[in-house]
Amino acid sequence: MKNCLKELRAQRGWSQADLAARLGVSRQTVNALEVGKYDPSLPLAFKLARLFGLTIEEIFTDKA
Amino acid sequence: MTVSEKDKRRGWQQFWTGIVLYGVLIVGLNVLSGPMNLGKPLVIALTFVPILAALWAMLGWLRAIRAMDEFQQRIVSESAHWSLGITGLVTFSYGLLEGSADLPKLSMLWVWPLINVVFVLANQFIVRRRYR
Repeated sequence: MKNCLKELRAQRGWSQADLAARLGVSRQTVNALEVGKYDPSLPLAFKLARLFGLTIEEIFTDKA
Repeated sequence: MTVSEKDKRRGWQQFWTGIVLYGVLIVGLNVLSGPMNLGKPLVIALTFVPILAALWAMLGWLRAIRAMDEFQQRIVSESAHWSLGITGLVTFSYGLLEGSADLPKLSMLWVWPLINVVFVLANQFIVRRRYR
């Protein structure tokens, strides 16, 4: 899946560590999400959506 | 899903305490049981004592894993599967070769270290690289 996490994070001026702390995950996890190497679980996707005030579909898009 | 650093740290502390205790008990019992000329049943019983420390270590390892976030758990899980698969293949194949190609018999003592070595190598050079 593609996502716009890096852009959303940059808009808020957060570092990967800041976002990780807000999500309660490691910085490595945020990095893997941003580069599209790891797709989050549904609970983590909802957490991201709530944090950025968007829907999951607005953050993640299917590559196909 | 959440990272509980405190729980993770406690888990690792428990793991390393268990491992050190296991090593001390193994060496200590071997040193003590040698000159004491204990009977076979007692030697077998004493051999199982360090396993309690190893179990304590294993529970610490599991506690640390449970405190990891979902991505970290995936890294550990994939590394463990690599380790399980490769160790299984190597030991099973060598076991067959011991019979068919008359290779020297190796002690089962090497299985556990092999599991650990393959886990670390797979973790560092295959799994982590894949998610970089």
